[in-house]
Amino acid sequence: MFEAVSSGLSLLFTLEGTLYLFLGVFVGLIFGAVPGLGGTTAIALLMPLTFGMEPWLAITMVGGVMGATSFGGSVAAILLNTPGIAPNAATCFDGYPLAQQGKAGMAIGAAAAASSTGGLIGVFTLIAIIPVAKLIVLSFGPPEFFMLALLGLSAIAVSTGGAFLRGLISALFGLMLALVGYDAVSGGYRFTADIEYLYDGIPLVPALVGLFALSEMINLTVKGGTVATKEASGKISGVWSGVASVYRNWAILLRGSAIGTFVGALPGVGGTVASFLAYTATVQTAKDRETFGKGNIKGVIAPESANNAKDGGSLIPTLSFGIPGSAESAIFLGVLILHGIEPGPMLLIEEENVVISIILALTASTVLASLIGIIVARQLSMITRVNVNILVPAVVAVALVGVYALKGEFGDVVLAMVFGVIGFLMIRYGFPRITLVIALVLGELAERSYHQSIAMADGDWMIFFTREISLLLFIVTALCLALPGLRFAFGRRPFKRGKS
Amino acid sequence: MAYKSTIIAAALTLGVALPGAAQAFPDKDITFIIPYSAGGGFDRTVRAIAPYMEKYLPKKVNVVPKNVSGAGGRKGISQLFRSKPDGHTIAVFNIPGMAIPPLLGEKVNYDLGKVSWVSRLARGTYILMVGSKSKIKSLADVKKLNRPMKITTTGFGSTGYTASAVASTVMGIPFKMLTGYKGSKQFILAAIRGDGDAVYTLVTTVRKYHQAGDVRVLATFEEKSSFPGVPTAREAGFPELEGMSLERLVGGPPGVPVDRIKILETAMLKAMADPEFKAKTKKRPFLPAGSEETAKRVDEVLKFYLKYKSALGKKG
Repeated sequence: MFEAVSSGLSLLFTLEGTLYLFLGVFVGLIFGAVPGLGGTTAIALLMPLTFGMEPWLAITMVGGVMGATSFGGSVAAILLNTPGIAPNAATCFDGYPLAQQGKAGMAIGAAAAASSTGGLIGVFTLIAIIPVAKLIVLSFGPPEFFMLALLGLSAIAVSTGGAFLRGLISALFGLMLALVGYDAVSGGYRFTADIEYLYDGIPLVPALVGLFALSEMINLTVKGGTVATKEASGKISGVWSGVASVYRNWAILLRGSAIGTFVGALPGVGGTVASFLAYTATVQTAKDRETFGKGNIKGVIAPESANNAKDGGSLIPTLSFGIPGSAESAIFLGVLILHGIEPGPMLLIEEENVVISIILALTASTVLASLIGIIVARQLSMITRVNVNILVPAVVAVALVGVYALKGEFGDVVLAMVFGVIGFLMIRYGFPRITLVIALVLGELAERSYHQSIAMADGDWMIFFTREISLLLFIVTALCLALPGLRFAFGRRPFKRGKS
Repeated sequence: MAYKSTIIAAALTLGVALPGAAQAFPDKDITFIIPYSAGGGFDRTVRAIAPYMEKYLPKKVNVVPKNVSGAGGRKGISQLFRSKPDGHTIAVFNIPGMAIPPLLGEKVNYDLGKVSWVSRLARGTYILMVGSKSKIKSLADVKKLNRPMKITTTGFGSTGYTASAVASTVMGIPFKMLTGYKGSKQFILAAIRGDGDAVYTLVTTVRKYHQAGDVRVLATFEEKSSFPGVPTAREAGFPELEGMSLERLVGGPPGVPVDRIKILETAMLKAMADPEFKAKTKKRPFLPAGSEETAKRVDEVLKFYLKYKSALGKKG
């Protein structure tokens, strides 16, 4: 093992290795930052370049992309309220308000530090649990997936931002949207109005681009001015204070990374769920809950550490079973196949050097991407001071091109525009968008795994409580829902009594 | 046969009106539609052959694989049917996968009887497997379950679901479907995990899991078992299951001139015979067949599944 690592390292530091790593990081950052594109598109585009290459070199480049996209995406989320890739959606909620207050530098600094630290934790966890990886992947069946989705959905309760009823309406709307398309359980098509485009459901990325980027651009156009409000447009600084804030909030960083690694390791769940769980866990346990959504730096640290940690985590099922834990790792498998390496449960044994190449590249990439981010954070933050008359057309054009480029599907562009209008109306009438997104992201997983669990148990719903992990997740969910009430009941009573 | 008359009609038109067309073909890049997403079995098959196909075309053009995934493969094939039948657009077909929705009475924008078939690339054969920790050790144990065998698979109407239903019916195994998994790797994992009892999947897909000791193969539908000690369907008394296969075929939209099909067919067959290509795909051998044989094979497979239509059950 050590021999393989040192030979891997010496390969990485050859001119070729460093060059392709940098190329991967660079492409990853850009593709992450442009809404709609993202890591899978980047890797798919780079794939033909790797035809004649040595496998390890191709893998190094892919690792570079994987490690860099989620940080690239966070920059767009913070500056423009537009998640560069879906897992950055949760970063918008506090990142963008920070940018509006002129603290974009601080938010980017925090995102950079949280991303690289989270990424490193994810990779180290991967290395540590490779020996027991199979056990972990196997302990999560449909009942556990359902409980995990329920835990995520319970977060809706604390994410309504004060508008409880409207928050629930948004969430129900999100659940309805999640039901559109092919039902993997019954095999039927639902709510598709016979439109072939809707057979696969509402695609997440165009919907998010609409809900966040386009709606915000409409909103800005209506308001005029710049992203950062006038009072806030003093000197842009605070990159380092952002970095420092990450390590001051080390508990949130560690929890976010743990959630990211863990959720990443579950095939079919993905980074978006990971970052939402990390965000909502932070909100639910925070004492200053009411400041979230208004520019709390903790709301950037949690999702950003999670969505980078998930890369390491997602390699756990990829390497132990040949089952991708994320979209990027699915393409990574494609690259392996292209180079004649058969992914599957034998990968760890037969292709140790491949495994080491990807781990090293991922490690180097997360750190490198964040360093680049910190260096250019100040220049990037200037975007928040660009007048909307210039900013809006540019962002709308880039976002729509990105959405189109994703699959070359014009329907995606139309869908993004429809969601742009929906998002704008939601802003206008005070309906929180976060609850819609949580429901849209988790609805399908919750429904599918519920049906599967019930089918597994021949209709007996006790299956959710007789399996240890499932039961544990249920208890955590119940606690999360009860916690605010308990805190209210026990924490505030003396204070109130004293007052009356 | 509808496709034959189409081909003849096309040939006549061409012979009369376009004598110079053959020499000019191909005069631009050939788009090779993959109706599934990147990284899967069909994607892999096409991306492996494309560069070698280029090598054997009479003129130097690129063969560009294009993933048009969606609606269980229907979107890509619909796109093929809308393209110009000039031989510059071809696609890889999943038979029976693409034949099942129309068989079940669902609306599709294509007619498999009218495809201009080019060649076969590969054929997948099925096996029946369980997780290696399962109490089921053999086909005989399945009968001793005293309850329906739970099969983890993809949704109703999918290739996996159909194969599972048909094979179980042929072998007389009572079964219950546990659906909703997003592909063969996911439902193999589900069987290893113990969500359900068993899985029907392709020999090529299961090979690695078998080597790693994660799964136990109960029966193989190959003509000669490639898993030591595992009986074939014929040995188990179900020879008709050898006819149940997953064909990866190449075809163009209806009405591609027959001389152009010939050029594409020749390039494809030469590509699959290329020694370098053969060496590269040793682990997953291709099974070439020409245009005519492919069309015949489509008919056979469709007939096989049509025979068991009642076994497919209903949505729900």
